[in-house]
Amino acid sequence: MDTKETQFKELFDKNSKIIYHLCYGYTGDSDSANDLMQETFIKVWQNLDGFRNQSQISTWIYRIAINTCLSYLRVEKRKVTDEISDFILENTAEPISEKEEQVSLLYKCISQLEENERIIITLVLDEVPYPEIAEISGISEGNLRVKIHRIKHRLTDIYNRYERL
Amino acid sequence: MKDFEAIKRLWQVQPTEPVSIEDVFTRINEEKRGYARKLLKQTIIVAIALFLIFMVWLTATFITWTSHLAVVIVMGCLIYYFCIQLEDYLKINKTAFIFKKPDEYIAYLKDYKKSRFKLNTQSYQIYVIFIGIALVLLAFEMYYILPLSLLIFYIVMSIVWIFLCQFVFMKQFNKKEEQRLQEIISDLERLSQQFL
Repeated sequence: MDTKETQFKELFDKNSKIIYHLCYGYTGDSDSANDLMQETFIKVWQNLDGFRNQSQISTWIYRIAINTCLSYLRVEKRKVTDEISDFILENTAEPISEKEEQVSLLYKCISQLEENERIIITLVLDEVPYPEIAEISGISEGNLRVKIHRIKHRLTDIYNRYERL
Repeated sequence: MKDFEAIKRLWQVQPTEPVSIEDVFTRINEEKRGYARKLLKQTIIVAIALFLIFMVWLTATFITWTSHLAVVIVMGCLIYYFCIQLEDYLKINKTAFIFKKPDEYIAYLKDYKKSRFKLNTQSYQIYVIFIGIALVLLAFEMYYILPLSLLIFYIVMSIVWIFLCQFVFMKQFNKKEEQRLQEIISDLERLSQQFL
C-alpha cells in the first residue's frame, strides 16, 4: 500500500463515522448518507495531495462533507420532510430494538431543524470542539455558542414532544 | 423526558454501518472509468458526425459556393457543441470550491448556476441561428437543382423548422431552464441566510 493510500485509510477510519452521522442527520436516510459519505471521501482522495495543512485535516474533511451535503440537496431536491422520516420509521424491515427506535426518532427530530442547525448539532453530538465547528461552518465562535444553545433547546423540545406521542 | 445529555448518550451508542473503504475505492475507480467513457463516447459521436458530413462534402458536387459555406457552418456548430459539453464536464469536476466556507460555496453555486443558464440559453440561440443560416445558404443550391415544387417544399420546411426552433422549442427550453434556476437560487438563498 503506498503512502497516499495509507494516509487515506487512516483518515477514513478516523472520520467516516462522524461524516456518516453528519450526512445522515442532514438527509434523514441512511442510503443517501452512505452515498454522500462516499462522495465526500472521493473528493478527499482526489485532493489529498493538495492539502497544505492550513487547518486541521478533520476540519478540511468536515467542510467538504458539508458542502457536498449542501449541493446534494440542491441537485436532488430532497427536502427532508416528515414523510421521509416517517418512512424510515415505518419501513424498517427487521424488528428494531427500543434503542434503535429511539435513534430513529432522534434522526426524525433532527430533520425538523434547519439545514445548518442539522450540521451543527450532529457535530456537537459527536463532540467536535466548538472552535472547530466554528471554523468548519464559517460562523464566529460567539455566534455559534448562541446557536448551539438554541438548537439544543429546540432538539430536546422536539424529541420530548415526539416521545410523549 | 430526556435532557440534552441523555440525547447525546443515545447518539453515541447508535449502531452505524457506513460503507467500507473498499466501497469508496471501487467508486473512485468507477468514476474515473465513467469520466473517460463519457468523454470517449461524445468524442466518437462527434467524430462520426463530422466524418459523415465531410464525406458528403467531398462526394457531392455543389454548384454554388453557398453550399460549401453551409457545410462548414454545420461542422462548426458540431465542434462548438462538443467544446461546450467538454467545458461543462470539466467545470463540474473542478473541485477547488469544495473547501470554501459554506456561505462562499453557496455563493459559488449560485454564480455557477447563473452562468450555466446563460450559457445554455445562449448556446442554443447560437445553434438555432447558425442552422438557420446554413438552411438559407443551401436554398441557393436547391434553386438550381430542384424542381419548383420541391424547392417550395424545402423553403416551407426550412421556415417551419426555424419557426419551431425559435418560437416553440427554444421558448419551452428557456422556460424550463429558468424555472429550474429560480428554484435552485431560492433554495441557495435560503441556505445562505442560515450561514450568516
